[in-house]
Amino acid sequence: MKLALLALRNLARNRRRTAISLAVVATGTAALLLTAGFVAFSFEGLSEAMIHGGLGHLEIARQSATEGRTATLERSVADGLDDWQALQQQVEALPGVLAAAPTLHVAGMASTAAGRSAAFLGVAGDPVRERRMGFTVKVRQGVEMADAPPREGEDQVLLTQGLAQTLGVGPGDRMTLLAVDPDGMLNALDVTVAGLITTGVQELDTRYLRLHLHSAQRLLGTASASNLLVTLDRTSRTDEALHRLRGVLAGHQPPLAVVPWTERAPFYRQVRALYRGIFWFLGSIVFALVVLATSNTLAMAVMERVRELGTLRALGTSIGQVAGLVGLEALWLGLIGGVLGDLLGAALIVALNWLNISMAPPPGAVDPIELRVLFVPEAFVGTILLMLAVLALAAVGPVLRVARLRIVEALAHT
Amino acid sequence: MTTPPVFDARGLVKRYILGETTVEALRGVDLEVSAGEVLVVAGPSGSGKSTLLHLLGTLDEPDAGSLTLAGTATATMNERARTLFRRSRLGFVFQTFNLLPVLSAEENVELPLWLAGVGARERRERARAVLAEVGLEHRFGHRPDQLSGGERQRVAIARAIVHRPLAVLADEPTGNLDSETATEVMDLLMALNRSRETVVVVSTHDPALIARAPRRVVLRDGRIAADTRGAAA
Amino acid sequence: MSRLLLAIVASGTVTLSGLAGAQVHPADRALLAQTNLFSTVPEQFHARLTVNRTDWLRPLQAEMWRGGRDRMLARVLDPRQAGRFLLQMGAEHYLIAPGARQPVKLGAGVGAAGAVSFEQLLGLDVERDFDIERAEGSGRIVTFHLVARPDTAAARATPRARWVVDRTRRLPLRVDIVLADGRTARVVEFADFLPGRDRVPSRLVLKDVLRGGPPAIVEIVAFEATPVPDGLFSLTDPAGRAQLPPAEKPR
Ligand SMILES: Nc1ncnc2c1ncn2[C@@H]1O[C@H](COP(=O)(O)OP(=O)(O)O)[C@@H](O)[C@H]1O
Ligand SMILES: [Mg+2]
Repeated sequence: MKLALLALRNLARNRRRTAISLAVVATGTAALLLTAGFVAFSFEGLSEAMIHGGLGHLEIARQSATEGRTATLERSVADGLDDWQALQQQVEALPGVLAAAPTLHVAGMASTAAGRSAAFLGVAGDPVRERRMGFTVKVRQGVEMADAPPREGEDQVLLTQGLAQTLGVGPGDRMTLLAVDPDGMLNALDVTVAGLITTGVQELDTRYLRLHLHSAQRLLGTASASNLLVTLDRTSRTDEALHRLRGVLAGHQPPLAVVPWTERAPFYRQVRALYRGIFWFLGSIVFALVVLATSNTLAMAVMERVRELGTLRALGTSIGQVAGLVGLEALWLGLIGGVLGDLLGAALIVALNWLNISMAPPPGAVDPIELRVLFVPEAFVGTILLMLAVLALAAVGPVLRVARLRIVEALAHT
Repeated sequence: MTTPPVFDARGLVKRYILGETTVEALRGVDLEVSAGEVLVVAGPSGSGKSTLLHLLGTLDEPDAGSLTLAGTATATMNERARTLFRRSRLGFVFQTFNLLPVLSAEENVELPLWLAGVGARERRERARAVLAEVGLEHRFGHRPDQLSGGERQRVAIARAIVHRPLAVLADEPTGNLDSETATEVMDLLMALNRSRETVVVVSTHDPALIARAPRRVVLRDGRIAADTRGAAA
Repeated sequence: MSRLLLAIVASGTVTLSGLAGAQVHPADRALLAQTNLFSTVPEQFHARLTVNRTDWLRPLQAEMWRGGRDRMLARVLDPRQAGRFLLQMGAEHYLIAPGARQPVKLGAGVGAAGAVSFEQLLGLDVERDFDIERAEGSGRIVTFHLVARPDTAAARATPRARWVVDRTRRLPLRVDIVLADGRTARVVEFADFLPGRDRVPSRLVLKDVLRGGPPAIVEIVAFEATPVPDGLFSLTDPAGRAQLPPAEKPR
């Protein structure tokens, strides 16, 4: 207690040096906070973009359709949900569920009167539900597709720009979709291009299109849906909702699978690992720099006070107490520097967010993104703990030195 | 009298090895100091005064000979035991005062009490009482750098006696003081000895101070050249 | 199933006439001409057939019309497929569907995605598209190695084929569809022929060598060499097809 106070007072002796040490620790802390905040932002942005770009938080599909399958936009309609409407009602009644929207996946060929054709990957849905779910499909050109189920002959599609380019069509143009129905038979459907969209994923933009659930059902001659996509009021409730849904749907025949978005998101694991890697890489650099910078000043602080430490030993202070004194000084540096770094980091985060910097689109994405740095509460606590660890490590040398001090020599030290 | 002497040194030898050469700082010192004695260790510079006080204070270990402190042989004491012995039974005064610069006068004096585990309130009371005793009742809150040399040494003396040790070891306590202040400090040490029956061992080579001592041990080349009691002739 | 169905359509139209090649013996060339189903099957007929596979719940019922050497129309007899036809006109083939105003020309890509590609088979108009590379076998069984003529629809989909015939009975036994890299993709076996009718297959076995799976068995359950109205094959006017009886499953 008093030792801690004494250590704190010792820090105030060489204010300049202490200030530099604190600056090093605080800067390192702030750098980590910014990194964590940016990583969290990027990751959360990516997650939300994927969730609201059409993944939803949870997917309900026939177990047989999901087993051993990663390509989540190709749930065969033959393995679809016949009773999706009943399921939809059941699921939407659950707490935390914003909406449960049916989607129908259809793959096939699109062709135009001019004789151009291209393979497509179509996802059909209910525009009203999807709006409620916060699915954002930004129409770049043309208009949204109509909310109401299209009448016969009035089917519409939203084409990705790349697909539209391949087919040489634009808003208002007509084309024909060709697909194999659940019986394995080919069918065709004339559609009008309502608008052009982007998925945000380059690779998908060359073949993706959206259409109304009813259009897809017409094309496939079915009343089923491939799956139900469930969105929640908060992403953090995904696990909770996952377990509840699995419970609710346990007895369903045929057996259903509830798949969280993390399992369906392309590259989710890789991206998360990448971000973690970046964070740990920077974290280790900061760690090393702070250890190097502070261990030196801590050693200097001990060197300067050898006689004083010898005096303490002469007066009957134990080796442990003297070593503790030096260690506590280091920990104070870590704590104060960490807190200052938290404040500095918070200020920088606010400032950066206030600047509204926009960044080039990340690889695979289409739109530039606005830079945001998030407050990661765990990081604010974590960095302080980390800095305590850093300083503890930096103090190892000086502490050992103090523990080995010979009193008589220390007293003679000038 | 069954009370053992506070210090009982037999044939103390201390060598320092400096590269090729070995310096024999003490070459067999016998010394017995009983409770309540005041002793001045005199001798020219380099005669081994500091070395003797270090050994008596368990700050260093002899190469030969034995030392018994209040009945306990130091050879049987480990590092921890010596630390505890110093903490509770000894007080130190240094030539360079060696106060902790970040602590006030009062806090410096409290330090031995804190080490002994005395509660905060009692610590403050006792520290202030002792500071008053050495004439510094108006300097409680001052930091060492706000005090004069004489005041600092008084604080150091207060620190050395606040926990009522058996003995105070003062190595050239007046070495950094002018002669007038040195006399005051010396008088103070002797007064404390009288009021508390604390053994006081002071090393000095100041003839004026030596003359005032009730017992004088003169060292020369690591040996006791004279051990006299009573007022100097 | 549509692919299989069209495969049947195709198997009836494979032609091996018009083959050229100096090294081919005239007797072999004559043999090819005699086994050329494209010529031996009547130019006008209506047929009903079933397709089955051991892994299907029930067989597929279908009917088809040939209206001239190079025209074929087929549909599945199932109310759910009402209004849908597959139409072959020469080298081109179309899907006619109620949801599409115009017949949809089926490009090479559609068939390429499937297991038994109807269009590859339909495209096997060897009279137009293939040359005999060599003939093999001096005994009863003769195998013709065929190479698609460059720049034809067949060349894209079916670079090579092996046409296996029975010299004694003057009947085709089998056709292997061979890819450019030499792998055999599909096999169609002509397992039986209509009694009393020269060289009209009544039973075909379709095997997907690349993908595996059980073979599909095609059986002609009714065959009638009868004039077929032109209107059935119109690309512009659906009226002729609209007059057909509903696509009910036969009892
Ligand atoms: N740490 C040491 N290393 C080497 N020699 C030492 C050391 N300390 C003291 N000495 C030597 O021991 C002798 C006695 O020294 P010291 O006890 O300091 O004498 P004094 O205090 O009487 O001046 C001197 O010759 C001194 O040089
Ligand atoms: Mg000395």
